Amino acid sequence: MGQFTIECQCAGKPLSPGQNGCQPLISRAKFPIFMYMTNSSGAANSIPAGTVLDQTYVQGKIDAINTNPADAWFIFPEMYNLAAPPAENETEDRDGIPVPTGEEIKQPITWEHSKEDANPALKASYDSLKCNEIGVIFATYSGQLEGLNDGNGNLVPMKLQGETLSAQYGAPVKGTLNKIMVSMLMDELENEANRDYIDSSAISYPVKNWFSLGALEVINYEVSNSAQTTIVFRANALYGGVDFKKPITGLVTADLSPDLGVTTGEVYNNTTAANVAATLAESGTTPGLYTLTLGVAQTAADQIWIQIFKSGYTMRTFKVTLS
Amino acid sequence: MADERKKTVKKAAPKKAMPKIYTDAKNPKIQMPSSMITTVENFKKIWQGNARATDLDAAWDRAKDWRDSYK
Repeated sequence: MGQFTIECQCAGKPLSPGQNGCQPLISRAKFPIFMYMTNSSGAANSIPAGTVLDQTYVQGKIDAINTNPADAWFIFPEMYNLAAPPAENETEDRDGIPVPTGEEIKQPITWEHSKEDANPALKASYDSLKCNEIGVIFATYSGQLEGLNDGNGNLVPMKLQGETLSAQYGAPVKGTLNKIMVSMLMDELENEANRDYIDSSAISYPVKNWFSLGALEVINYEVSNSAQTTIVFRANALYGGVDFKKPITGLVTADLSPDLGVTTGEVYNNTTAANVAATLAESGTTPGLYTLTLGVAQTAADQIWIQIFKSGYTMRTFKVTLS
Repeated sequence: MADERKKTVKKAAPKKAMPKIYTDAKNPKIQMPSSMITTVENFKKIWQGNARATDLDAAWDRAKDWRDSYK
């Protein structure tokens, strides 16, 4: 139930626009924070009224990508050339006079990322959100969080019209920066009258510290596997060139977990449906190169699922078929 | 009194449960499931050239002693 669900309420007394002096204002948006509309409990994702927005809370939202992506926040880089024109009234001409039908034509919101942020890998991040019902809150230049009020003082994300989030890569040419151009439409059911924000004074971990905060995506690729016991792979970050990815270093055996940290030092054999003890050893000479040794030799053609569970990191399940 | 004292049986200290993961005290990058601390050959095969481990014989001794302390 929205705070102002009925935009045009003809029954009863009209709302008075009287103001009690100086009104606080929302500032312009600096970076977007995407999240699922519904959390892992099936309730609406929100920042409940009275939430202490400290570093622990924010880190928990970022790390939730591993345990419950539906609870996670996806903080994207700074936006430039943001254009968010107001929605337009839909009208029909009646005897030559345009009369509002009561519906709004929601306008697209567009922005750009540029330079280092505008890496093609960022497009992959945007594209990965497409399949879900997602919403957005904006962090503003004044350190506020902008979203919608659900009517009970909770800040909920503004819902995006399904499948309208889109990102395109613009290659650098002379006189022009490389860019990622992003566009989306607000859902037509969202009521602008419910727009609201959390003031910076109520945010104990300042929003300026959240910049591009996100779990580091680990991209693995197999180098070799042998004797059904040894798998050699590289762990790289998402960004960078083909041979110029930043290696992910410092992973250890205790970071291996097939079940989100419940069991450590194990991988999952998807063919036999059983966990297998495993040791992860980082190369002493090549950063990001790891040798994974299984405690017991498995069978050729078995598929081993490797999963890292570590605060500040995330990865999709790495699947290796034993040769 | 003396007879009563004789009857008192000294209880053995409860056995400590072996943690699932072993971490080398000198090189925390050397971590492995305790079930994989088997032979010096296997240990060296896993860690040779890895984790910037220098003295593998000493590392093996530490791992073996740690394992044996739970027997």
